Amino acid sequence: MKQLIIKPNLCINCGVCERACSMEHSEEPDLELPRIRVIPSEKPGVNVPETCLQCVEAACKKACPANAIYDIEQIGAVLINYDECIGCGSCVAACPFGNMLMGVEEPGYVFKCDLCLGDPACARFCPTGAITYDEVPPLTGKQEMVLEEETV
Amino acid sequence: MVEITINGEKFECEEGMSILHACRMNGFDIPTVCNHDAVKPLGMCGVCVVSVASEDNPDKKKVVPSCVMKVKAGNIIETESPDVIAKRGENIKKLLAYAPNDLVLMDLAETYCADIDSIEKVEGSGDCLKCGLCTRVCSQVIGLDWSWKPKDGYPRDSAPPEGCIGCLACAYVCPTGCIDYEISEDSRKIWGKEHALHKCKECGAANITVDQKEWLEKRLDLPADYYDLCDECKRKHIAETMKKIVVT
Repeated sequence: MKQLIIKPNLCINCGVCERACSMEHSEEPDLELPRIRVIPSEKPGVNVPETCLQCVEAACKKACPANAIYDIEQIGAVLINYDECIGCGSCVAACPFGNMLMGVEEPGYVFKCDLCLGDPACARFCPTGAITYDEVPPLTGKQEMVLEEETV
Repeated sequence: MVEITINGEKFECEEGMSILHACRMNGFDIPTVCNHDAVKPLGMCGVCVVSVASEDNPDKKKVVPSCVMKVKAGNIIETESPDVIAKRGENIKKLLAYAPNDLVLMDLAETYCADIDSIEKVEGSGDCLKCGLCTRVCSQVIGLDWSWKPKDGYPRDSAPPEGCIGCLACAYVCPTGCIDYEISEDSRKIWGKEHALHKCKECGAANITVDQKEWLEKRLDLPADYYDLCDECKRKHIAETMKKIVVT
């Protein structure tokens, strides 16, 4: 199954992902806010495009009192059912990563990355390959070693 | 599974499903005002009406609200026949009397009402349709004590509900947006009651009220400091970890 793969060391903070996301979700004349946000870092050559991690046991899903959040296994996405959402904002408070977003103009309107239902715009437009939509390759021996060192 | 007919086509659907749900599932769009999928239907607004007959007596048609009727084997349902359109239009006019300038209702009226010039405004409605969505969402989803029946009058007369947490869900689901609230830097005010906002420990932004935080703590059994940061600060913290990922 494909996943959104983020490589912070390739991100140049050009912001195209944000604009592509916004355009993909907007219907004229309204402009939707992007579901992906770049967090710049002081480390040269590194920036972090952040968006929903489509958690397997999503905290937002557990927190929702209206059962308005559901998974689509085939595309590995966690989605909001707007016919069931009551706008209470519990999901925003529950997401440990801050990737459930709430509208500013209309309190209660929550939104998140929906992987563009299988063809993410951010990945299509990212010029450097910092965001790609691909099968996650198995870890190479080198990467496994780096992870082990970190945790020790 | 039961077999029903919708607008001349046969469909199979699960027993116990509402006619509204069965129609929508099969691509028939039925307008609704007082319906919300997170709460039990009330059949209050009458906008979702359809005509229902049975196979043994196909000419005996009844025009009923589809949200509260469950499908039965042999149902013959029509969603846009002339008598359905007429009844729907009548019910939309009744709602317009409570909220004459509401854009959603006016939009519906354009499709379903023959003439809307002769609507007598109901004084003192404050645009409230008495649809009870606020009370249903609050009691059935948030779980507070706000029981209300249509005969009780305007829901606002029994507000705020016991233990209101200032989540604004009632205002969000209200079809005419007639529930007023104020948001300041430090609090939210709704139903005449002020609720202090729970502020982010790092930047002072707030997504929820203190009452909401306590409600979440009880429901989700998470430590109190779980809610310390706003979404933006959480993203910044996670970025600190993620920027260590170097893919060669």
